Amino acid sequence: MPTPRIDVKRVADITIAVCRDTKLNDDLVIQEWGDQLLALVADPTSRKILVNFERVLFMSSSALRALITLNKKVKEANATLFLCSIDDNIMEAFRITRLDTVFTIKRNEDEGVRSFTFLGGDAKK
Amino acid sequence: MPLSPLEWSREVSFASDMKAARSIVDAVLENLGAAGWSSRDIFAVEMALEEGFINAVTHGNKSDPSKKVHYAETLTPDTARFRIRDEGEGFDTKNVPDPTAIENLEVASGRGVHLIRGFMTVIEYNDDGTVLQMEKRRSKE
Repeated sequence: MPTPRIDVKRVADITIAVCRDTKLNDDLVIQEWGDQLLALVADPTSRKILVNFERVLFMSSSALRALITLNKKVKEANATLFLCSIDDNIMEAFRITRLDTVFTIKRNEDEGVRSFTFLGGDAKK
Repeated sequence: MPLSPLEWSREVSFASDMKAARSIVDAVLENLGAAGWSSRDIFAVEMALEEGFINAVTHGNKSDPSKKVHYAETLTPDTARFRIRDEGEGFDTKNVPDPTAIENLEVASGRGVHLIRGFMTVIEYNDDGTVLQMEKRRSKE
């Protein structure tokens, strides 16, 4: 049985996934984390997804790869993905790889929720 | 071997296994922390070692436990130097696609070397791509 890698909650029609691990670099952890995020996209009631990284202090390129796969699935499902609460050091990795231009990144969960609310019914990225 | 709290060097070889690699990384991070390096610099070293070891273990040695990774580190008060050699077939270091090119931005893989380059002060591969040497200079406070 896979270890839970995210805590999932709903705020109105927004699905919030809070990452549980402080380090996202181990292959098994990333596999389980990625699968659990992909499962959210497979749920037709989850069209607005906010991934909260407030507990994460390290991410390898393998975790970035899983996020890119997630982003593709989100687009295919015509859903919207925001990321939030990314540690400053990890943000530097996003900047170096220019993934900060691929993902919509919000400072914290409140800002993420507000941004979705602002998008209203037209939540396509 | 440790020379002093602020200066040490060591070399070690281990079978292709990320658990062994990560125990080395943990020891390096602990030493840098004890030497007062900033969390930003320590993160940079962690990223570079993680990606360097993944490349050596997974891509170079193809996780073959009969192949070894050869590692060396030297720390002075202002500089951390690392050398990672694998026993694989190497790769063309001049022909690594740029993951930040528009056409590659959403390609899932290929960011490891770019991250190492971005986080370290100096990085160098030998001609056949089996030896990575990298250096992090300590940031000014």
